[in-house]
Amino acid sequence: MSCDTILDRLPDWVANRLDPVETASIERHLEGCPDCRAEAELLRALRDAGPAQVPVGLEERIHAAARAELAESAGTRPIPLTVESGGATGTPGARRPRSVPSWALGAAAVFVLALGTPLLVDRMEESDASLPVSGEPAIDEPIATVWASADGLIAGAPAIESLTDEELALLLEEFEG
Amino acid sequence: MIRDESDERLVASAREGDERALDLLIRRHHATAFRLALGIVRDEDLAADVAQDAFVKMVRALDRFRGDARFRTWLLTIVSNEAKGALRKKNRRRESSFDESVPVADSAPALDDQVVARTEGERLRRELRRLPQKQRLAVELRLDEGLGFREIGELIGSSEGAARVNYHHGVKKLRMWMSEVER
Ligand SMILES: [Zn+2]
Repeated sequence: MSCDTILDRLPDWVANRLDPVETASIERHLEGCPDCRAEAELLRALRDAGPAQVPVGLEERIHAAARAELAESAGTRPIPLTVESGGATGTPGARRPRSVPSWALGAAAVFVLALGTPLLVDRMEESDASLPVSGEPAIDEPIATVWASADGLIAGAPAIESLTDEELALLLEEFEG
Repeated sequence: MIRDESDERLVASAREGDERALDLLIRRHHATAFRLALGIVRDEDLAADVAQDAFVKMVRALDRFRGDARFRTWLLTIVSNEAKGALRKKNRRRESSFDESVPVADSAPALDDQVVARTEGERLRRELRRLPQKQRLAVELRLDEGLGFREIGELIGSSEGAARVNYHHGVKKLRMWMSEVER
């Protein structure tokens, strides 16, 4: 192996990340190459001084915040319509409870009947693609407010999007008769 | 065993609401996330906040992760963006809250830089902080986190080749500085 190759791999060698074969070939090179050896010693000293310590309690803090977000977003996330992920095996507790008035379900069914299923599928794929990577959380409007809007059918779309799997299944059942 | 699952499989489970999968992803990557944030914002408390916020945003964007990228790279990109944003916000706050005649507090060495380094390693860590940011991050991510040059390039916003050059220049400078000290 050339010195360049060795120097690229040295950080993995000092951190014991290499398999025995690679380790042996690097050590053979180091025996005969003072320059690579000097760099290995420097990296070893750096490594031994250790990277910055993670503050005590940070992992737990992140756990709590991330779990809360998971529970939050499980209720607002658009329902995947593919067969393999449609099963929604998520823990029931993670989903935010939400009660949907039966009139809203009925109205949603009318919306589906009026516009047809293909459009519903389109809408969901579209909204999934526009989910912000690092934006603010989506505003979780109460369904009643959305439906009270004068925009009629258009205003109904987000309500369908925010239905849980169970609610959607119920709705589609109704739709298919 | 869930413990042996790949990151990408864990992401799929977390997306379905599996908290244990999420916990495991956090356990695996929180230290790297924190240290990357620290490398950018250079403030422990702020870096901890950044790491936490980045994980929350990661959860929020779980549906956007398609598996064509490596999860770690994707997460660390969120961390890096979050850290840069936090740094901008911090600098803006400082600009607006300081009288212009008052010298900027940043010119004073950080507290741990004032402590006399006892070992060669401690001295090296101190010298490491003097490197230009891309070189310092390249050395830290390569040595401490075991990242490859391509992944480092994605995080510091350069090509794989440029990341390699940053790493080697950083190490070369450290070697030079240390030999000056010895003389
Ligand atoms: Zn050599």
